[in-house]
Order: sequence, then C-alpha cells, then structure tokens
Amino acid sequence: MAPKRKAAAKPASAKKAKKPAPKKPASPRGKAKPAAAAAPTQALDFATYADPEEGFVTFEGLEVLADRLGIDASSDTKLLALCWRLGAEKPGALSEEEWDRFASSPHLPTHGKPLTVQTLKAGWASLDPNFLDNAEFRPFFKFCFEFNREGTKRFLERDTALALLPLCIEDRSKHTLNFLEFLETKPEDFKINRDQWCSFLDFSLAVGPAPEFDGWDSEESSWPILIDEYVEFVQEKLKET
Amino acid sequence: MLRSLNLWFAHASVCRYVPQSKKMTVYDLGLWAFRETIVRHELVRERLRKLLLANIRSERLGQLIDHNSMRCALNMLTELGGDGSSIYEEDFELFFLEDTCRFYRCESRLFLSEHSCPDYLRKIESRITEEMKRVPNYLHASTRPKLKHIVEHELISAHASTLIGSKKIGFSTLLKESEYKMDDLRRMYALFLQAPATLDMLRTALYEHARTAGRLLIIDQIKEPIGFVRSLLALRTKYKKVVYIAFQRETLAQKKLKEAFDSFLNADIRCASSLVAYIDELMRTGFKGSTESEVEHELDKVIVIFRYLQDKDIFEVFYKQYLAKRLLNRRSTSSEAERQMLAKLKSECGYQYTTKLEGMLTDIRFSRNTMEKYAAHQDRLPPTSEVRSNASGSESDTKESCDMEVTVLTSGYWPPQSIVSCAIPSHAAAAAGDFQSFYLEQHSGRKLTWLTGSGTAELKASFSATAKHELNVSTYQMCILSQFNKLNCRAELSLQEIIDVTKIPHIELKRHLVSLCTPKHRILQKKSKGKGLSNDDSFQVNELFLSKLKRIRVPLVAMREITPHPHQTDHIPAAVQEDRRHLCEATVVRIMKARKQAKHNDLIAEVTRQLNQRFYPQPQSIKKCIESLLEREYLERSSQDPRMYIYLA
Repeated sequence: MAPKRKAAAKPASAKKAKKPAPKKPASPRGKAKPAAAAAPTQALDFATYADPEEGFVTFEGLEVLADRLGIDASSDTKLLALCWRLGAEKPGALSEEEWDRFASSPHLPTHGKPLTVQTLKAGWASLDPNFLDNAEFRPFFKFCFEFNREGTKRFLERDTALALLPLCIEDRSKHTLNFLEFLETKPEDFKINRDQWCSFLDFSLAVGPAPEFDGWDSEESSWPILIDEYVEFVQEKLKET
Repeated sequence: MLRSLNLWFAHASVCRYVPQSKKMTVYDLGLWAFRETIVRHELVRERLRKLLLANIRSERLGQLIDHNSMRCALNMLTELGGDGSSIYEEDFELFFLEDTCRFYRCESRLFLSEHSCPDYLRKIESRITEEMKRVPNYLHASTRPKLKHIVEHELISAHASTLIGSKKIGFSTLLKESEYKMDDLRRMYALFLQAPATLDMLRTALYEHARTAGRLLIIDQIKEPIGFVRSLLALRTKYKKVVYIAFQRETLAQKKLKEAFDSFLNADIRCASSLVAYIDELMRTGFKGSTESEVEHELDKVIVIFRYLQDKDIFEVFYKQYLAKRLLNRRSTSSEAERQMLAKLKSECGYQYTTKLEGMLTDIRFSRNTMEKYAAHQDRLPPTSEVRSNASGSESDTKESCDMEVTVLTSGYWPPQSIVSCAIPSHAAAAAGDFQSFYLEQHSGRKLTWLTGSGTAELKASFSATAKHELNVSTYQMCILSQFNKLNCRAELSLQEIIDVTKIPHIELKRHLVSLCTPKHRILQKKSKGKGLSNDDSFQVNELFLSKLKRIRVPLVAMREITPHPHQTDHIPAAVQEDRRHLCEATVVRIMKARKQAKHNDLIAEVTRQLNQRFYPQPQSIKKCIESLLEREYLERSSQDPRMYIYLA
C-alpha cells in the first residue's frame, strides 16, 4: 500500500535508502505509466497493471489504478480493502488468480458487472471499511498489517506503523492519538509485530479511553507488554499534567 | 434482711414436699405471690440487688463475704423465675454484668497505666480465675459464659493492641528478650487464647517482629556471609523456641514464622550466596574433627535455611562454583560430608537438582582411579619403550618429562571454564601427552582439552648456590618462569616476549606476573616501579631472593578487573536468567501442547506451579515468554477471546 512509500517521504526519509524497492527500478513499462486522463471504460485486466518481471501487480501498479480511479493511493483505505477482498496473500502483491476475483467476489462492485475501471469507480464507495462491523473489521485490520510487511518479515517498522495505524483504524479507537505519541517515544528501529498490531484493535474495543481505562486490569493483563507500557505511559503523562 | 428472706424461702421449700400434683399450683401460686409482693416490692427489689452487688464488689476488693447466704439468695431468685420471666436475669444478672463490666474497665485501665504489661498479665490471670470461681461459689451456671465473655473483653481484648505494642515491656519487648521472658510470653498466649480474636493480632505481631529482626540482620551482617548465617541460625532458634514454648507449638504461629523468614530471606539474593559461603566454610575447615552425627546435625540446620529460599536455581549456580573450587584445590575436609550434603539437597529438590553436582564428585573419584591405573601403566613400561617416545614426540633422546597428576572433568557438569590453552613447557607437554594417549586409549571417542587456566605446579628453584626452594605456583606462572630457564642469569624478558611465547591471555598474564613480583614473594624483578605493570615492562629473575621457608606457595593477587566475587553482586546471574527463560518457554509449550488451549490466567498459574520448585517466576517474565512464543507462531490468540491462547501444532 502506498502509505509505506509515503512514510518514506516523511521525516524518516533515510528509510527510503535503506529499503530496497520491491522491484527493479528501471524497467521500461510504457503501459504502466500512461497519461493521467485514461479512458473510463478501460479494462481491468491483470496484464495492464502487473509488473511483467515479477508476474504480480505491485504497489506501482496499484498506484496507476488509483490514479485512474481518481483517488489518493497513500490515504485511501478503500484500496487496501480492495486488496483484502481480492484475498491478497503476499505483502504488496496481487497474483493473477487473486486479480480474477474482481469478477467472482461478491464483496466487490465489479461482481457480475463489466470489468472496467468505470464500474469500479462507480462502486468505489462500497469498499469503505467503515461499513464493516467490528467482527468483520478485525480480519481487515489484520490484513492491513500483513499486506504492508516487507516480504517474509513478521513486523512493521515503527515509522510505517505510525503512518498506517491511524489510517486503518480510523474512528474505531479512542486511543489512537495517545498510542501514536507513545510509539514515537520508541527508538527508530523499533518494530511492531502482528500480535501487538491486532491487539491494539481488540484493546481499543475492550478498554475505555484515558484516564479511566475502563475494563483495564493491570494485575491480570493478558495484553501484550507493549499495550501495558502504553497504558502506563498515558497514566504517567496524566500525572504530570 | 437476707436471713429473714432465707427463712421464708426454706419454709416455701418445705411446702414442696407435700404431695405434688395439687401442690404444684399452690406452690407456683405461692411463688408468684412471694415474688410479686415481696421480691418485686419497691423497697425490697432495689435493696436486695444493691446488697448483692455490694457484696460482690467487696469480695473483688479483697474482703471476705458470706458465700452461703449469697448462694441461697441467688438460688431463690432463680427459683422464683418461671412463666416467661426470669427474675434472676432481670433483677440481678443484668445489673451484675454491667457492674462487672464497669469495674474491670476501670481497674484494667488504671492498672495498665501504672504497671508493666507482664505484671498486668499476671493480675488478669488471677482475676479471671477468681471470677470463674464465683460461678460455682454462688452464681448460677448460666452466668458463666456471659461473665467469661465480659471479663475477657474488658481485660484482654480491649487492651490487646496496647499489650502488644506497649513500650512498657509489651509483646515486642518480651520477644526481644525471649530467653528470659518465656514465662511471660507463655502467660500472654494462654490469656489471649481465651479471646481468640486477639490471637491473630499476636501472631501478626510475631510475624512483624521476626521479619524486622531478619531485615535488620541482613543490613547489619550480610557483608560477612559466615557470621550472617550463624546469626540467622541463632535467630531462627530463638523464634522457634518462642513458638514451641509460648505458643504451644500452634500450627498457625509456625506458619507465620515461616512466612516471616520467607519474606526477608527472599528479598535479597545475597542470602543464597551467603548460605553457600557458609557451607563452603564448613566443608573446608568447619568439619575438621567432627563426627558423622555432628556433620549431619550441622547440615540439617543448613537445609532448614535452604528450604526458605525461593530461588533455588541461584543457590545451585553458586554452590557449583564453590564446589568446583573446593574439589579442584583439594580443600574438602571430607568427601563423605560433601556426599551427605548432596543427598540432603536431593531429597529436598529431587534428583535432577543434584545430577550435575554429583557428576562433579564422581569425576574426582574417577580421576583418582585413572591416576592409579596410569601409575601402574607407567611402572609396567620399560624405560626405552617406543610408545613413550612416540607420545612425547620430542626429537631429543632424553625423556624430558615430569610427574603429573591429572583430574579429568566432564564438561557438562562443571561451571564453564575458559578453554584458551597456552603454550606449556616441554616437560609438562610431554607428561600431558603421555597421559592423553593413555586416557584416549581407554576411552576412545572422547576429546580432552587441557585447562591451563587452572592447575598448579611445583618448581625446584635455585636462585643461588645456597638458596634452593620449592615453589608452588599456578600453571601460567610455571610457563612464565620456565622461559627464564633457557636464558642466562641476568637476562631480561619483556612483557611482549612473554606474551608471544606463552600465549597466555593478557589479563590473566598480568595477574600471574604481578603475583611473582610482589614484595613478599619477589621471585622476579620488574623494571617498572609501583604495583602495576606497564606495557613495555621487562622482568628478570631475582638472584637475591630470600625466604625462610623451603617450600613457598605463591598466592595470586586479586585484581579488580576479574569478575566480582559472586557474593558481592545482588543481581541474578546472567546464566540463571537465560536458564529460566528456556525453562519457562519449554514449560509453556509443554502445557499448551497438552491442553491445546488455555486462558491467560490459567496458563500463568500452571507455569508458576510447575516452576515453583526451582524458582519463583514473575508473571511479567512468563508473559514475555508467551509473547516470544506468539511471535514465533508456537501459539496464537483465539479470535473469539483475546485472553485465550491456542497451541499451533
């Protein structure tokens, strides 16, 4: 998802140099970067967006699609929701088989309709994760983590998480601002793992906002230690003010 | 007045013996009439009561009263009761109890303010006896429990906290001087026993006192481990006596005492290492000349303290270190005592706890056997044997060798030793080579590594024609000194040259070198002045070396860079922490594998239960282990309940 790249553009720009781009930089892909004003009835085929060397649709291809849809790839979670509904298994990549689900998945606006950018654009709003109830949202939230990992790594870098978390969780958590502040106190090479990421959502749903933290039991907390530290952090902060 | 009433009563009772049936009603009627008209009469009622109470009061103040008439009067009141009303209770007992209450409240307060607690206890002991006698003397039996309750309350319960905390020889003071004040303590317990609610306060006070005493002891004496353990044992004996004698061996008091010791001994890791140091002292010198039963007795006391320790794995690490030193330096007075100690540890903690330690003892025994076999083997060999020259591998004809005694250690049992080998002089190398080939012939498939960091050597040194001494030095020192053999008398060797030839690690080299240059044993002279060595220092043999002794043991100087003595740290050793982490993870996996899924609290509880024998796992550490296992995908959280973990096969 583009947010990763955008995060690289933010203050921690050194990151960009560190992370190798997921594919070869200088491959001539004329068809991957056509003029911005594309024909609305353009077909949604795999070949158009896939990286020919990788055999997958990668972040670049998705950016192109975003362009044509008229959305901002770095901040529109519906794009993530799209990848989720397509069942993307590998981070940052969509296979042809997964792409084919544009037609077969009932969750997508292109189901039973012509496979064009137009159709997708028309039904774009339906992909909004805000429509999901908490139970459905959980797997989507987990997907956000999985999809934005680098390759087979089991974590997200701190800065990626800082950019991605507020985007994905939107209004479902009253802890977001505090938690981001807390994450910023961690060193730059701090990594957040899947358990911590998913637990943040569960925690937000189970425990009330500061300062009461209703539903929080410090003695018998089974939350990851990171969450315990977060609560302590906020409590300390409130003591000082 | 009473007398006349008595007579009347006697008359009424005579009437009783007339045929029953009819006379019951008459009797009852008579009683009723008597009661209403006389006893309950305004003038009679109050006066009667006042007199009765006044009598009792006088008796309490030490005067003698007529028990008989008291008894008769009170009996009369009892008999007059019936059809729902109890004259005895309403007209007498109620007021009596109130009066008693007031009397004792007053007396106890006054007495306590003027006297010490032990005196007060004696007083109330006698008062209680006195009051209880009052019942058979003239009071009705039913009054007994009520009287008892009031007396206990006013005399004991109301003042319990004062008695415990008072500076005027309260419970705390008595405990401090428990040797001399056992009687008072015993009385206190016996009295408090009658008011059970106060007993808890007493027990808690005992707990607090023991715990505070323990804490102070640690602050005072922990720097001196042997003294500390001795004082600790004395402290325990003292409190044990209190519980056995004063508290009549009560289980709850014993429990409280155990809790107190548990709490202060486990607050400081140095207690574990002190105990190990104490045992070390016993093994090295304390047991000299002791009989087997004396040894047994001492070790039993040690085990008592050991039982209180929560972190038994820390004890094991320290014990291993000390045991290794003892065994390798032959400092143990009696191997039987060592074995006894291990047997006791085994029965406390199970065989797994002591396998390595026992392995160490076995290694020593086997080494001795091996040496015997080796000696026999050497004797059998003809002097010009081919085997010999092959083994030594030296090109010269002279069989340079020396006598060597080897201890073979099984690496898994002993504390980790550094295995950086240095270059040893040819004599020693020859002997080592000989032994090695002998050993490997017997045990093929094994690998021997020579630990040059340990071991000693005896060197015959001739400083001049007259000054000949035997020096007992470390292996490294032997390597250093033998370098001077090849040179002539005044030759110097630089530090760097010594390093190059001997290949001894730098820090160790400094330590062993400096030990050879100390004012007391100046075997070598160094160029630089002062205590330390400089990097471009050089050394030569001290021709003017003098000593009264023929055999000299050169001690090693202590250097601060070397890791601190285990006793000085109060952190958990890193090896133990690592060990605990592994154990914890293994336990979590084992439990989850069996249960397939478990709630967080249950898992924590079960892990704690299984590890408790060895150490107390902090819930946070267990949590860290769980998180690590979650990350490595051994476990996952249930999607329905984030507090539930599921085992991933």
